[in-house]
This record gives sequence, structure tokens and C-alpha cells, in this order.
Amino acid sequence: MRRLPKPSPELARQVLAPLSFKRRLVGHRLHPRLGAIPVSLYSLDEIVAFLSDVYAQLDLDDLQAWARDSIADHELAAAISAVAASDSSPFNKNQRLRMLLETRLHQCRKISL
Amino acid sequence: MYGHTGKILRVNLSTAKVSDLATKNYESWVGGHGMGSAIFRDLARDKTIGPFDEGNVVTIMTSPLTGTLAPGGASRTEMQGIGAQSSPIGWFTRSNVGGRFGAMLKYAGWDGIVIEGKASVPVWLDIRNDDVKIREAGRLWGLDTWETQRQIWKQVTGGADWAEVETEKGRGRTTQKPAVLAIGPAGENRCRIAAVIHDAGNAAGQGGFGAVWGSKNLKAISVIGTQSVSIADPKALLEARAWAQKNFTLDVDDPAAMTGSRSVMGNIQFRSLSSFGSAPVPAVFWPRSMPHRPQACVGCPAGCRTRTASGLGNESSCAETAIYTVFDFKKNAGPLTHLLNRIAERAMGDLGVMVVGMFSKKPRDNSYKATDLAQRLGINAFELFKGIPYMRDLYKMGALGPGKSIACDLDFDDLGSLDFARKLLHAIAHREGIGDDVADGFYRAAGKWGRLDEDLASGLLPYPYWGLPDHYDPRFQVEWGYGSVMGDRDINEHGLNMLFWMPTAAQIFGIKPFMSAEEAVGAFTEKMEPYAGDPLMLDYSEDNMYSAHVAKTVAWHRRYTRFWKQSALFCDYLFPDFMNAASADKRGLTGVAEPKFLNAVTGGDLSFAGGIELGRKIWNLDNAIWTLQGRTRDLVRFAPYIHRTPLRGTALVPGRVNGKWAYINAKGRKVSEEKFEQWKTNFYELEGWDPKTGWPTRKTLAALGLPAVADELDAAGKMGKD
Repeated sequence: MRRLPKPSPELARQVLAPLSFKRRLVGHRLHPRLGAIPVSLYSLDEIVAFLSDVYAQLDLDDLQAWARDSIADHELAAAISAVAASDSSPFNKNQRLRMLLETRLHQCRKISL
Repeated sequence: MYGHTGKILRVNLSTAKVSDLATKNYESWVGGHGMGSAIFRDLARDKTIGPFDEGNVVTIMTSPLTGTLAPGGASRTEMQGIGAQSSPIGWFTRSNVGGRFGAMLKYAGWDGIVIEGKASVPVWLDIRNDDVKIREAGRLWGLDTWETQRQIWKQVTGGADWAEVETEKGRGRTTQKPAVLAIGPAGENRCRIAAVIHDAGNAAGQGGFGAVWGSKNLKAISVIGTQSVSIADPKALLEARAWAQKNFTLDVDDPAAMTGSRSVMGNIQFRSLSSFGSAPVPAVFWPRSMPHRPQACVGCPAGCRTRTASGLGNESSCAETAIYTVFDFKKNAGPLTHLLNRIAERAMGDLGVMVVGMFSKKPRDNSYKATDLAQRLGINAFELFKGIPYMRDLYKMGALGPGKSIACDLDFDDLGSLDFARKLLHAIAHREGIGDDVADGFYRAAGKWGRLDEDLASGLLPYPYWGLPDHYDPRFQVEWGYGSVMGDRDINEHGLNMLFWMPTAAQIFGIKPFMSAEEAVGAFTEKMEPYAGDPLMLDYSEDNMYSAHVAKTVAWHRRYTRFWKQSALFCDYLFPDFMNAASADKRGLTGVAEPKFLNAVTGGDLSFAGGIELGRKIWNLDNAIWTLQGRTRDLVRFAPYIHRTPLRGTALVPGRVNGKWAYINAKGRKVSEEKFEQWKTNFYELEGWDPKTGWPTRKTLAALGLPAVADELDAAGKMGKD
């Protein structure tokens, strides 16, 4: 997995900031008895938690756009793009993305302390 | 007919009169929903009344299978009457509850209960075999559903571990507790999203029957019985059970059987959906697993819920267990997941990551406790499941909160905590603050807040029909949406969902689907009598989703479920079983099993197709009642977001591409408003209803043996044109 360089304090602040209603991401949790359940995601923390669900669905184009445009984390956006382009199942992509985003989350939290 | 006890308990709460109806007068409907609809039509003189009118009639019906050993068919109880939840009209509707109530009712000698009128003071109904008393419930009023049951158990058994009950032949003894249906504060306060609860987690949730009971001052019905169910051919029933087990169930004691499509990975395609051949996986969605054992309703092999070592979340399943899961997890998941992932990936690669993904969640029990609280207060969990995220979005939008246009003093930053759950659920059940708005359902609350049009247009409020929450989206699971809007409620019938779940789950994990699209369509449609052999019924492509073929799909589904699931009362968890990982040819037992079990019990010779035809009669009777209530074709509409916003997320369903079958992705799809209108015409014509109004016609009703229903429609000026 691509290593993410240490973020600047400014970037860390942006990454950790909660998302507004308009900038939220909407994922879907699939379940055989419940169908596709929309889930609003308002922070990186929430996205990481969401991706822990085995049947989480997140549009990877939306995720890249969010990293690039909403939090201006171009390195993260590039890393997401690399995972999205990989020849892997949606489940495995999700797990890799979760680890990637969790890494970024910890980097940013460490810097913001 | 064998399987019946011969009498239906009739209780008029206004006059305190207890009498009975002869089951034989309704025997042609077999049981459950069919009987309930027929009794409602006979006894509810004015069908245009509201849910809280004294004239509303509530039926609680069993089937011949109830209390027997028919797998997945022995425990369901069907509740009907004019509901409080739907909009713009509280439709004549249904709900259904499992557990042991229906079986105990049969053991007490009753095929069902009919509740009429309204008590002047709170009461509960005490049934001990033939001895039936209406008792004052002043002491119980205000208690939650669990405490109500405890008090009743204590009173009926005298605190002993067994009970002695009078029978016709003397005295009977049982170690069983009475089976109790009860409402909580939500029902007492006429919350339109109030449920009727039985034991810890069985709920008749949809329809708002908790509120209807509350309006009748009916707190609970308790039943204890010491008799049994007469079965026409006990040997045939046991042989049918052995046949199902041998040919259609997974042998969990045989490791060699757990390979290929029957392995853990293969079973992902069957988990929690209708199949006897699935591994026994409880349908619970807690953020973490606690030590537990499976728990099942009477006579059922599935064990779709759990009893936990902690005692939390007992008997709740499905959406009930998901109302707080996301928020609990969001608030409480920690860095442990990250650490475990790193270790697991290094040690086991992708497999390690997957295992951690499934199990490495930080222990919290808020979601269990929130669910238990909803059951105790008697609130319909499915409304909470869809409505709490809606409230959170409004809060994030800045529309809801302290000093906002929607005044609310709840701290949504604390969502996921137990304190938040307690405050919200108590506010709803007791109609306090914002809870007073939500108590009437999130659809009505959105209307009160002035947000209904905007949020139904965007889909922020995912309520596609009749003011009721979305379940399976009509933009891909077509028959679910069409069937719901043509009926009275979210159908909550999972019989055809495997056609979505099986390929979609396979795609998620990068494994081969259990069946190709063409194979799957064949396996399903070969059983769909009287339309068997038309594969286009299950072509979910946009080119076909408005066709006469799909009208047949919806008609078949309405008929199958009205009879086999809601009247014979086979459980949705196991029936219909079209596709089965444990059977030699991948085909399930549907088509053969249903009549095999029913006929063994009744001694009749009803065929599978005969049951579906009886389902058509029941479906027509229901449509006649809705017509009398005010249903017209123009009312049958989806919320605007179904037509205007594209489906997000991947949903694979079978369909034809350039004439060849494939699993196609419905992502991005909308339902065309104009084409849906054409589909409605196709459907009405297929059913023999007037396409202009959607009303039944005399010709169709007469052919079904329902001339009196036609007369009633005629008298009301609501007869469709032939």
C-alpha cells in the first residue's frame, strides 16, 4: 500500500474537520433482509467506521472527489485512486481503503495533539 | 378441517361481551390473513372509519399449521384491521408476529381472536383455555411491555413455575408461561408508530396496531392452554419434515458438506435470506457479537434471533437490531481495528483483513440496550431505523436543533450514547417535545415541519409509498416497490430478493455467483404458477420493468404471499425456497413443501397452484376493502425521488442485454413516472380490475365467488366497469 507523507498541520486540521451537510458523503450498507441502506458520513472518522462494515458501498469517484475538493488532500486522493484502479474485489478494495484512511486519520490526530 | 380448533374468540370491549365464531364459517379461507379479511369485512360495518374509531375491528388469526411441527409454519400470527401508520389513508392492513403466541392460542382451543369496540377503562384479556375474562388493567397501564408481561405471568401462574388450567375434561397442567401480546407507553399514547410486543422481542410492528390497541384501552392479551392440535396425518407430517431435512438442509455436523457453495464463503450468498439450505445464521446486526445461542419460534429450525449470555437483545432480529448499530459503532469504534488489521494482513494477507473486518469491533452494548428499550416502550423499530438518520441529517443541515426551525433539545453530537437513545425513545413514547411529532411517524413529522415536499423530492426522507419507510428500493427490486404501492404497506416479503443478493454478494467478494442469471431465472419461474415458464417475468432490465411480464411477477408475488405466507402462515424467513445450496439440483423445496405440510395437517388436497389462486381471492377482497376506504388509481403513486433521483450504489439483478441473460447493474436507474402509469394499466388489466379507477369489477369478483363483496361496492358507488 502506498505510504502517505506526513500531513502539514493545516492539512491535518482540514482532514479532521467535520463535513457540512452539503459536503457529506453518502454510502450504502447492503443487507439481504434490509436492501441498500443509505448512510450519511460527516467525517473521516465516520467513513473509516463505515468501511468496517463487510457490505459497505462507497462510490470511489465520490471518495476521491471528497479527498481532493472537500479536504484538499491531494496525496490521499491519489492513494484512493490507486486502490480504485487495482484489480481487486470491492470487498478487498474497501478493506485497503479503510486502512489507508485510518492511517491518515492517525497521522492527522498525532499532529493536531 | 383438521388443524383448526373449531372456534374463534370474539370479544366486544364496548359491551364486555365474550362469544365465539364458528371457524367452519370461514374455513374456505384456510386461516390467517384470508380469514381475517373475511371476518373484518363481515364485522366492520363502515370501512371508511379511522384507526381509532370504536368501530375498527382487529383480528388476530392463526393457521392450521400453527402449533404443529411444520418447519417455519408453526408460529406466525396474523394481525389485521384499519391501521394508524399509513398516509393519506390508514389502510386496512396487516402485521405479523412470531414467537409462541399463536401456538399457545391454539393450545387454548382458539383459532383466532376478534376484538371489537372500545373499553371504557384500560383492560387486559385473560384467556385460560375456554375460560376468558376481561380484566381491569389500571395497574398495568403505564408499564412497559416487559413489565406488563411479568405482572401477568405472576398473576396467572400465582408465581409458580407451572400453571394449572381448567379444561373440558378436568384440569390441565403446563410448565409454560402464558403467551402475552402487550402494548407499551407508545401504544397507550396512540403513537402511530406503536407496536404490539410479545415476549422479549417479537413485534407486530407495521400498521401502528399498538396505537389501535391503545385507542381501545386494550393493554394486553394473555393466553395459556393445555390442549393440542388435531392433525389429519401425523405420520405424513413427520415424514414431510424428515424429507425437508434430508434433501434441503445443511448438515452442520458433516464438515465435508461445508465445501464449495455450502462453505462459509458460498453461504454468504444465502445468509439471512429465504433458504432451508443456508447455514443457521441469526439475522442480527449488532456492532459486535456477544456470546449467544440461536433462538427460534415454535417449530422452526432457522433460529433467526439470539439469546445472549448478557441477556441483552434477546429475541430481537433484523431491523430491530439495527436501529442504533451505526451510531453506536461510529461513536465507539476505536483504534483497535487498525492495529489488528496491520497484524492480520501481514500474517494472512487478504483473508486476515477480511476476518478482522468482520470481528474486530470494539465492544459496546448501546445498540443492544437501545433495541431493548424500543421493545419495552413498544415502538416500531423500522421507523426508528429510517427516521433517526433523517433527524441527524436535518440536524447537520442546521434545520433541527435548539433554536432552529425544528425545535429540538436533543444533543445529536451525543448520538450513539445510551443517554441519547433513552431521551429520544422516551420522548417518542410519551409524546414529549419533538417526540410528539415523531410519534406519528417521520412522514407526518416531516409534514408538520414543512419539509415533506422537499425531502420526498430529494429522497432525504426515504419514504417511497403510503408515508411508510423504504425497505427494498423499487428502482431495482421492482416487485417489492410495485407490490407495496399496489397494496397497503411495505410488503416485507423477501422471496425474490435472492435474485439481487446472490449476484451482488458474489460480486462484492469476487466469487462466482451460485447460479448464472439464466439458471436463476429458470429456477424461479418454473415454480411461479399459473405463469410458470415465462422467464421475462424476472427480467429486471429497464426495457422490461414496465411490461405485462412484470405485472405477472407482481400478481404472482401478491397471491403467493397472501395465501402461503400470510394465511397458511409460512414464515418469510424460509419461504419461498427457490434456490438451495444443500439440494442436489440447487432447487429449493418451494412448490412441493407448502402443500405437503398443509395437507398433512388438514387432510385436504390443496395444490400449490390452488393456494396461489386462493391468494388471488384474498388479494381481491383486500383491494375491495381499500376501494371502500377511498383507494383510487390516482392515489397509487411513488414519492417523487423514486422518479427523479438516480439509484446510488451497486445492485445486480438478472436481465437481458442484447437478448442474452446477465446480471445487470441497476445503479443510476430511476422509475419513469409515465411508464409506471402504463405498468399500472397492465396490472389492472391482468387482475381484471377497472384500469381507469383501479376498482374491482363485478365480473372478476363474481368469478372468485365474492358476489356479496360486489354488492357492497355497488351500494357504495365504487364498482369498477367491466
